[in-house]
Amino acid sequence: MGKNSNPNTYSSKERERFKLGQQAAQIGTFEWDIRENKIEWTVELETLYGIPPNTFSGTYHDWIQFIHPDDLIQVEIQIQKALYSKAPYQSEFRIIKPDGSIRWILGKGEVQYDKHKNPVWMIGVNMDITERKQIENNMRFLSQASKLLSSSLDYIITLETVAKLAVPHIGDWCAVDIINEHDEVELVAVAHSDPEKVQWAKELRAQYPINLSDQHGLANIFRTGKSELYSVISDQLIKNTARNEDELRIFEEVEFTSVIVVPIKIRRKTIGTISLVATNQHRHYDQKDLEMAEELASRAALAIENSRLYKTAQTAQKNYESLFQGMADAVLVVDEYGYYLNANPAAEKLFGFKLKELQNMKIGDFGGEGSATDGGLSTHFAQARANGSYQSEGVIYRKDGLPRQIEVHTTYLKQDRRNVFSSVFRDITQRKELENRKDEFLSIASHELKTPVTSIKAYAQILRKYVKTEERTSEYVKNLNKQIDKLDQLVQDLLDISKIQSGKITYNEEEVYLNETIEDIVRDMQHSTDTHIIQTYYQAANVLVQIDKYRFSQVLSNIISNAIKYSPQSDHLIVSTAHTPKTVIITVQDFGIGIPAEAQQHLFERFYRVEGKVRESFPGFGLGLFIAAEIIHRLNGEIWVESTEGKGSTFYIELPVTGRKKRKSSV
Amino acid sequence: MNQSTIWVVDDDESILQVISIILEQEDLIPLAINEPQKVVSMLETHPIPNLILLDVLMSGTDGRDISRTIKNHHIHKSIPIIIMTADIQAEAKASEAMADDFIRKPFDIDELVDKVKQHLHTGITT
Repeated sequence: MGKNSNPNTYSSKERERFKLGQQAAQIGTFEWDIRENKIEWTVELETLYGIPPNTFSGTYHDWIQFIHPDDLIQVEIQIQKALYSKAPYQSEFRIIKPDGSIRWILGKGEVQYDKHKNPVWMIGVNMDITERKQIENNMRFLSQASKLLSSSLDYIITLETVAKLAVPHIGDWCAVDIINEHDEVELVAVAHSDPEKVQWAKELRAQYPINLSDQHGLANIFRTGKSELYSVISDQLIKNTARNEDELRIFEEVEFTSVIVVPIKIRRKTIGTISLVATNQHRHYDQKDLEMAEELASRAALAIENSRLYKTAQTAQKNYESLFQGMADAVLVVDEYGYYLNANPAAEKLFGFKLKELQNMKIGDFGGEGSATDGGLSTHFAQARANGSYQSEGVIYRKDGLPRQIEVHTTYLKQDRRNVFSSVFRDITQRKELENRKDEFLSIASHELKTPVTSIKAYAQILRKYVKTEERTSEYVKNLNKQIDKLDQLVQDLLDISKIQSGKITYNEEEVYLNETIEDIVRDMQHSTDTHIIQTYYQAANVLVQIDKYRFSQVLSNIISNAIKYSPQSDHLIVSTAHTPKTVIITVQDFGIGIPAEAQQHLFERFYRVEGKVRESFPGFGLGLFIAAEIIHRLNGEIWVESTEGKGSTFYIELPVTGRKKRKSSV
Repeated sequence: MNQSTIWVVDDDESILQVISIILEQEDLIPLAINEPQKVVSMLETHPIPNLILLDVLMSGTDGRDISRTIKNHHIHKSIPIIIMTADIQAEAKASEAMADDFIRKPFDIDELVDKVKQHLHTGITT
C-alpha cells in the first residue's frame, strides 16, 4: 500500500488479510494522485502486470504503456468520463506484459474531488479476467459456429466457414479432416490468417497424406477416438510426431506452441478430426479450450450426419425417380380406394392413357368397353391387400381398345398417412403369342415329321408283307425315296433353326455373279414343277455380290417353291433383278392367293403361319421365311414382301453390290 | 364278309396312297379323300361307308370337327370312325372327336388292319 497521503487507514492485520485476498483473486489496487500525476501500485498489481515488486515507475503515462494499442482509446475515454462526470470508472482492456503475453484486465475506480469539485484522487482495483474472457470468447465462437453448422446441408463448405471463424480468436490454425468415401483422410478445411499458408498446408498434406496405420498424430486419434491436448509443445514431442526429416523441419518452421485435436464421432465411430493450433508462444490451450473443441466437434458431427442423411435420402429419391421414369415395366401407384395416383412413362405407353387421364381413373377402368370384367384387377388388388403382395395375369384394354395380356405384381404398402398399392405391369402379349406359336409349332412339327415317317414305315411293311412283283417294288421304293427326301428337308429346316438360335450357322461367303447364280437356281426349281413356268427378267447387269451360294440358293428356292405352292390357280411366276445405285433387288412375283395385310408384318417371324380361310392345304413348319430373313440379314441384305389378297405376292431381296471392288482394283 | 368300303380322309397324298394299298391288299375297298371338308356332304350323296379312317390335324380342317358332326347325325353316327394322329394324347383326341377308336402315326400295318377289321366286325354285329 501507499507510503503516505493515503486518506484511509487500516490496521496491519487488516492490511495483511487484504493482501492475501488480493493475491488469491488476482486483484491489485492502485491510488492515483491526479494533481501530482503520481500512481502507486500494490505489489499484487505489479505482479498482475508482470513486473518485479516496487519497480512501477508511477505516472499515468507509465501505466498506459502496458495497454494493448487496440484498447487504449476506449480506456482513456472511460478515465476522462470518470474524472469529469463523477461516474465510477470501469473498463475492460488487454495489457501486454513485458514477456509479451496478453492478459485481460477489469479496471474499476472511484474519484475523490476537492471543494471546487476538481478530481484529486482515484482509488481502484485491477483484476485479471483473462480466463473469463477466454470462456466468453469460446462460447461466442461456439454459438456462431453452431449457427453456421446448422445453416447449410453442404457440410464441407460449412466446415470451411467454421475453420475460418476459429482463426484468430481460437487458434492460429484450424484444420478439419474427414475420412472420405475411399477411406482416406481428407483435409476438407484449413484456415490461417495468411491465405498463402493455407495453400502451403494443403500442398503439404497432398505430399504427405495421412496413413491411418501410423502410430502418431491424426492417425492415432482416428484409431483411439480420444481427444489430445498439448498445452505446451516440446521439442521432444515434435520429434516423436514427425514421420520423417521433412516433416520435422516443417513442424519446426510452423513453431507450434499449443495444440488441440478432437475427434468428430458419429455413433462412436471417428469420422474426422478438428485440429486447433496456436503458434503464439504465449497462448497455451487448457482444459476449458479442450471442452470447447469437443463441444464443437460434437456439433460438427451432428451437422455432418444430417448432411449425409439428407444426401442419402436425396440420392435414394433420385435413384427411385430415375428408376421409376426409366424402367421398361409399367408402374402404377394406386390408392386405398382404387384410384391411380402415379404412373411412369412405361405405364402411359402400355395403357395409352396420359398420367393426367390415369389420375381420374379407377382400377376397373381397363376392362374394355361395356365389359363386365375388369381384367381381373379388382380381385388382384383385393388379394394384394389381404396378402401384402400378389401376382396374377390378365387382359386389359388400352385406350385405343387394343387388348393386352399383362402380368401384374402388386405390393400393398402401409404408409404413415395413407396406404397405397404399387403395381408393376408387364406386357406379356408378345411372350404369350410366342408361347402359343411355339405350342402350335410343336404340334405342327410332330405332325409334319410323322407324316413322311408314317408313309415310309407303311411302305417298308407293305414291301415285306404284300409285294411279290418287281414292278411294284420299284414303284414303292420310288415313293419311299420321295418321303425320305421330304423328311430330310424338314429335319434340315429344324437343324437350321437351331443353328440360327445358337448362332452357330456358318457362312462361306464368296463373290459370285448374281444373274448366273439365279439362273442355276431357277433351272433346278423348274425341274421340280410341272405346273408353273418360271420366267426370268434380268434388268440389272450381271453384277458381283458377296454371298454364301448354298444359303442364298436355299432362300431363293424356298421363296420360289412358296410362290408355286400358294398360286395353285396360276401357271407362271416371274423372277427378276433390278438396280439401285449401291444394291441389286431380286423379286419373285406370283399370281396366287396373296397374304392378308395383318399377316405380312409377321411373315418373317419365327413359328409364324398365316391363319385364316386362305390357309389351304399347304403343309410346312412356318420356318422357311424366318430362316430366309436370317440368312439375308447376315448377307447384309434386306427381305420384304408386298401382297394383295387374291392377286398374288411379290417377295423382294435386296443385296449390296460388291462389283465396284473389281473396278477399283483395275484403276 | 362282303367287301367293305373304307373312307380314308387325309390331306397328305402319300398317306392316302399307303393306306389304300394296305386296305386293297386286305380285300377292302378304300376311297381316298384329300378334301376333308367334303366328307360330310359326301355322306348324303354316296353310299354310306362301313368305316371311316380320319386324320385329325389337316390344313384348314380339324378332323375332330368332322367326326363330331358325323357322330351327332341321327343315321351316320353308327359309322365306326377311327381317328389317326401323331399326337401323344391320341386317346384324349379320340374322345374329343367322339370317335370309336384311334391309331397313332406312324402305325404298324398289322395294328391298322386289326383295328379296322375289329370295328368292321362290331359294326356289323350291332
